[in-house]
Amino acid sequence: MLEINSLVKSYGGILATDSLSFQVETGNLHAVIGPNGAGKTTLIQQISGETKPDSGTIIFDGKDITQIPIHLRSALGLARSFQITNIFSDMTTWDNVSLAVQAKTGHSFHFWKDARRDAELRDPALVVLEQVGLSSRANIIAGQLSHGEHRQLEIAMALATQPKMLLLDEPMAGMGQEESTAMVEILQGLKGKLTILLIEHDMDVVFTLADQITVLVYGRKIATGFPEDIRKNPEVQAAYLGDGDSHA
Amino acid sequence: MKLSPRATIITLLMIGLGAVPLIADGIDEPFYTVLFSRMLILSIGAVSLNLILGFGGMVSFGHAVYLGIGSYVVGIGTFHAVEDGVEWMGNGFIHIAIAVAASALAGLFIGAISLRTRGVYFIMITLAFAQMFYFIAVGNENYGGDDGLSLYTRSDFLGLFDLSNDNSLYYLNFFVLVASLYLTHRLTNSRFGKVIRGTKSNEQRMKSIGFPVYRYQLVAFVIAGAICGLAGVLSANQTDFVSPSVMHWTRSGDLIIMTVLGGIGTLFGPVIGAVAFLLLEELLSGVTEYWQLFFGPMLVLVVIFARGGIDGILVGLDRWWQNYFLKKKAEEN
Repeated sequence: MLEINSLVKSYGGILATDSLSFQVETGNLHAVIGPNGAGKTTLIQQISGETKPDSGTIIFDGKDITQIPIHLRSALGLARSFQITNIFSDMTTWDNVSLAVQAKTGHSFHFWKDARRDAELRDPALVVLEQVGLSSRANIIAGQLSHGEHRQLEIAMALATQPKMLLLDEPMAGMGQEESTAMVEILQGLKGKLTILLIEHDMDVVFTLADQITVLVYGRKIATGFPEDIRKNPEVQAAYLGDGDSHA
Repeated sequence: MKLSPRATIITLLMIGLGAVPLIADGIDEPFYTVLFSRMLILSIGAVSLNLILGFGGMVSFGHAVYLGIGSYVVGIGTFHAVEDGVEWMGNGFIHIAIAVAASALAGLFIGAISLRTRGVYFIMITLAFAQMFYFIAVGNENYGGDDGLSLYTRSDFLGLFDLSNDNSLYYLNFFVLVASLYLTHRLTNSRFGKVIRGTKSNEQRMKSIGFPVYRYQLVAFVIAGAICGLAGVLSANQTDFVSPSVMHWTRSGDLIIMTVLGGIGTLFGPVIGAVAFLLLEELLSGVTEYWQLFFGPMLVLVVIFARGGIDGILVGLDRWWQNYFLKKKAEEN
């Protein structure tokens, strides 16, 4: 589904992505882990199109997307959620997701009909809200939701664009135990239905959910494979797991 | 149906605006019709600016340029109609058609370039374009240059209505204002409007869910320009005079002030703002020549203490009213 080939990105002499190559198989939940500053967010920004790589290619679903703008990547079926909550905080939860649905229903040069009474937008949005457990909060202004609910809304908006692949940038960041558990359940529900690239700090979560894991250190891939292999890999243990802090 | 205090005040304002010529004639003060006519025209300008500024977050500092384009279409048209006897050039419908088309085209040109920038650069580049048009008008000696052009006659609407009558012009202005408000209402709640408002709220997210925001912003910019061009047609007829000063940058500033004073991003905010602005100007300038000395601090106070402008105060009033009734109900139980 996704193929990263010798990707390079540097910021003033610091290599944030150092000739990185790996593949994400269709239907897999592929996790990318690594200590702080490993270049995980930079990687996701290059895949989603917010940052242009210096060199290398990104192939998504058979197409080279390295140079195309963000909104076209989204149209091809690549959706991302953000590490820092990034929603329309002055609109209701339902409006947020409806807008994401609208992005997939052709052009928006419709000037007259009331979009808030448009079943073509409202119904699918409610289905997605149901899926992430937010339907009871549909009519709340999104800015007033709790932190955990913001993260759920992030996922809902990504899902509403009916993506083939989901890029999740630390969906568990800053969550309490209870909220984390709820999020893991949501991700478990999505697993297998679409391809997911998950960037995550929490090792327990990664080893519970991931089919494949890639480990980054200073922008370089030091290992990629099944969770059990990663766990045993001495290089990974030395660089990352061996410091005794499972939450890094 | 029970109206909230805010809805009541806005309804009364609109009914009051509609009744101005009747009242002015009744008390034999036709001057008020002229004053309120100006309010209506600038309201239309502010409503159109609000579409991009309030709903779209595009701070255009050159919106008066369309007032100028609309005005000059009428000025140049009637000039040739009278001087050269070219009758169709005095036709009001043709004035409107050309003014709207020319303003839309100018909006397309200015927007296509300006919308590639953001923030302070966008403000400066829209200002620069407006100044460019301003100096074109100043330099055009055929049509009066700096001194402007007096209209010998107003736009001719084929006898359907006679604009030389101030009351007819007033009702035309009122009709256009109501129509532009209804258009804004439909637009901002449509799918198109959702994209515009979403882009104001969070542009990065709009792009990441797949919206090519530039083209939607550009269309909004063009629509706002076209509506304001229509206001320009009305403005020239109102003042019987066209000069570069209608599109001076301070005029653009006035439109922004009206919109902010009334409440940006709300339907009626710009109307409230335009009425309040011109009333204050009228009242204060009657007291002192340096009326801006008092108007400025007032504006600062509104911006600091009432972030939603006057309409924001009305929303607060609604909330207070609601709480008052809830409390009363609780006490009764």
